[in-house]
Amino acid sequence: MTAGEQDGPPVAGQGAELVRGVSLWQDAWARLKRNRMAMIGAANTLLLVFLCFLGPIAVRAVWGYGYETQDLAYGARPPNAEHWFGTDFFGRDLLTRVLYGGQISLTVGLLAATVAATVGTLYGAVSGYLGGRVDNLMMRIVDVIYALPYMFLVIILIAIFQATNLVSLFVGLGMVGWLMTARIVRGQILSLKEREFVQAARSMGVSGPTTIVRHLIPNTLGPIIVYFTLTVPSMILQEAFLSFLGLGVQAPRPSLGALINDGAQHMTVFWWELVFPATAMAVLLFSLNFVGDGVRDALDPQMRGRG
Amino acid sequence: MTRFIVGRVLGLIPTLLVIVTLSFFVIRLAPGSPFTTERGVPKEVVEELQAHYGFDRPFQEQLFNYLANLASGNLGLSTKYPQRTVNEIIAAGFPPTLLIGSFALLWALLFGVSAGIIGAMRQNTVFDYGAMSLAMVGISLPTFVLGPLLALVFGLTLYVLPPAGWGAARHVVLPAVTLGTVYAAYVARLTRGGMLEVVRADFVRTARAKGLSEQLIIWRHMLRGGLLPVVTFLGPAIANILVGSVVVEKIFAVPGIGPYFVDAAFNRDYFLVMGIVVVYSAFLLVMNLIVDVLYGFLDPRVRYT
Amino acid sequence: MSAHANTGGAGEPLLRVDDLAVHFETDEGVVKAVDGVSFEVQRGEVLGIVGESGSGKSVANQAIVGLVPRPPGFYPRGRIHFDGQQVLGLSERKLRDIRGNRIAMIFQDPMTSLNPYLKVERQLTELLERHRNLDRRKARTGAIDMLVQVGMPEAERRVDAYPHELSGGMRQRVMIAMALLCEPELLIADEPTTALDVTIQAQVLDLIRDLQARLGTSVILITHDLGVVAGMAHRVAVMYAGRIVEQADTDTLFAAPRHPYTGGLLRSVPRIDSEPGRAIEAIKGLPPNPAALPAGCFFSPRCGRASERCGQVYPDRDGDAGHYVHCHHPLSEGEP
Repeated sequence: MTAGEQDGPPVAGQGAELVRGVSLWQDAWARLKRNRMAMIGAANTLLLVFLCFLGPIAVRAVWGYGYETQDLAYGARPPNAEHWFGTDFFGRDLLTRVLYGGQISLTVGLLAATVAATVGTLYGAVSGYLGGRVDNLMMRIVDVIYALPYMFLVIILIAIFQATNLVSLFVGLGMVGWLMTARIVRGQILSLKEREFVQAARSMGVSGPTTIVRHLIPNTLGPIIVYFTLTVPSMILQEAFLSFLGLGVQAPRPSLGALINDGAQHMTVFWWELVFPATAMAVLLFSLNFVGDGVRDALDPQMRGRG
Repeated sequence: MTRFIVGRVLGLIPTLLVIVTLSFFVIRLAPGSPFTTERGVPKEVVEELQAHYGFDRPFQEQLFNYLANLASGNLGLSTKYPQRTVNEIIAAGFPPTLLIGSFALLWALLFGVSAGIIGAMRQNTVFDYGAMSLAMVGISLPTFVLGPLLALVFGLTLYVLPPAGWGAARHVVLPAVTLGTVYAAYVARLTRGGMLEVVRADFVRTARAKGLSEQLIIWRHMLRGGLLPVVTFLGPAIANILVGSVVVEKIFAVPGIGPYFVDAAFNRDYFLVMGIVVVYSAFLLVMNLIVDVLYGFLDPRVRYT
Repeated sequence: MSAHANTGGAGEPLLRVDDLAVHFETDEGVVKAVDGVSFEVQRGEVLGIVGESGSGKSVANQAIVGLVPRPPGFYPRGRIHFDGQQVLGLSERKLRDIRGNRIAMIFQDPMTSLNPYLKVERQLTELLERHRNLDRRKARTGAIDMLVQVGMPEAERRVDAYPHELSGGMRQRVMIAMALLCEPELLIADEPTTALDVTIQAQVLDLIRDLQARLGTSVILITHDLGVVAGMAHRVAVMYAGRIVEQADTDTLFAAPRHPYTGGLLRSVPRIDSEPGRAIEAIKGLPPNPAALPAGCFFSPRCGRASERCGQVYPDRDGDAGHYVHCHHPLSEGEP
């Protein structure tokens, strides 16, 4: 990293901490606003959230059908004026199903990422704060899990326990997502806990958990947020992956992955059943990825351009 | 160096042991049995089957027997396919999986590294934005989205490549591209990032001051340092490519190992699930080891300890 | 001695830089890193260029071999003649034939300036392969010979080492070997000792002086340290904020500096022969922001002798080619 690439002079010590706290977020926001692709991604994401959550309700209110309403006499019609995305084999409106699927994807993505971020943050913070042998052991565990072909374990777990419901999905996905966050938070905490303001809090008798929650975690918020925004699309992707294999959300609830799976099986005749859910999935991931990239560049300029 | 590799290979054994034991516990402690699903099978027959596969023994003994068999390379018998051993199933299924995976990786590296170099050398130009937008599209096209779409377009609309099947070279193209594209995109971004790290390095300026051609500077002086992030990424990438092959083989009807895996888990085909987990894990561990050695080969400052 | 034909006439300097300007396009506007610099280097001469960091001394010299990154850099005006040939604006291909071959460079930090991923051998042989068409084996012999010449102990073995396996002094010897491998006519040494330990600094300077005398190479020695220049350079140019403010032969400059900035630099050098108790003076203030240069003389905000005129008009050149200065109120002889 050459000096010319750094934004602003390096700050150190406790006095600078406060100044940095304010300007860091303002700087980041300013950088994010300047990133055109990220802003387009964010606007697009908001639009999709809006459509996915309100669309099905509006359809039900106006036309009186939902994602599950079958009309066997009207099965497998290509896109037309009444059903913009066409209908599936059972005569269900594909647009409504795609929107509802998007709703599930977004919900799963956000919740699973939240679970992963929470578990990862706490685990990493405790590990980093305690340090020494405990830290060593806790990080070894992370390393071992990381080395496992974890997606296989998730598949085994879900298949064996026949637990194809949302809860087990969160557990399965959460298992995958928290490792990186834990590593990053731990690294941050390790360097933070030697700083003056933490030492000061400790010397005044503030307890360990309080120090972690009140002093340490807020100061690692930047990387946590960065990782959270990157985890959301990856969780959506994993959920869809499992649903595609028939291990995710179950019928009649249409998750995007399940819809794509249906579409792939019928694509020889009903191309629209594949093209629309697949496009929806790609657009959703595309938007979220741009937001995630933008947030990372804004909050962590040194990470720019790395994976 | 040799000592390092030998040490690491020996270190693989306990890791593998942990994975095997863990998986064994998870699978065997789950409710259900391979035979309960078959309705109308008399109790005596089930008991006979249990005894045949050794499921009536104490749990520790079963684990011990499994490990003992494993040590001699015997992965046991399949319950779903009684006429075939797990060894046979894996021996038949692993080569196609490996073939598709290798070509996927090759595609990812060829495309990703080239796009990344172009992006970095023409930073903030149309080429850079084009390559990186393309990479973003690639990242947003997971296998289960890209695969069916490619099959639809090239196989069922343009008729240039078979949409499914196995046996000829052209059957490899679509699965490998499907599987590799996401990683091509990641590799492109990592290469670009790595190259940007070195593009302003002092030693690259030195190379310019020597009057070397731009190609030679990229190939000899920049690529090694620039590719280090990509090499680090190779381990997880290979693991994910293996996972992804489950989906790709399903989409393109490739007779690989992937489809067996999900089915086996659903059918409680204990030994088949275990066999696949063991072979995949061992393969991944070895690949990770190779990546580590490769890393040391690229960066002489890494010390083997 | 040199394989290159001398196309310049008798008395023609090896290098003549005329009114060179190198500007950079940045977010804060155009930065005039170098703005109207002229100097000459005769054959066999050592020219010292002294200035603070950011004074444009490195940029000016990188422009000579076309190493200024473009964009953001550009050359609004100026001429650079090397051996009678205009090199500014020469095609990249032709510049490459000159770089490392007829003009070589040594950079500040040998740790970062050597490629950490390549053995010393590869980093040396590639020069001979490129400019001398030698095969790898002959190039290796040449590389070892050169390492011996620069005083590398156990050169036969060290040629197969990676840079991180060498000490700082040895690394800089490799850099020097690299620079002199093709027997260049001009060597540009950019702060060759700044990153080194003091004891090693003297060794490296001795080595450069020794090789310069032996090979007759012309040298531009860029440094912020007048002490480095003192025993090395025949003439010295002092740069400030992208321009040369004073130029003279070394003895004259040290004995009778005329620019207040030069005077300040000299007083800030600790000297072993100065009277005890005499304070080392630092020049007050900071070098100006190159994107927002002051009006008039760039040094005037920091200058104790500045008058109203200094803040309005950039001073013209005063004196002849032997010793000139850009100052409205130059120091007279004997003044501190």
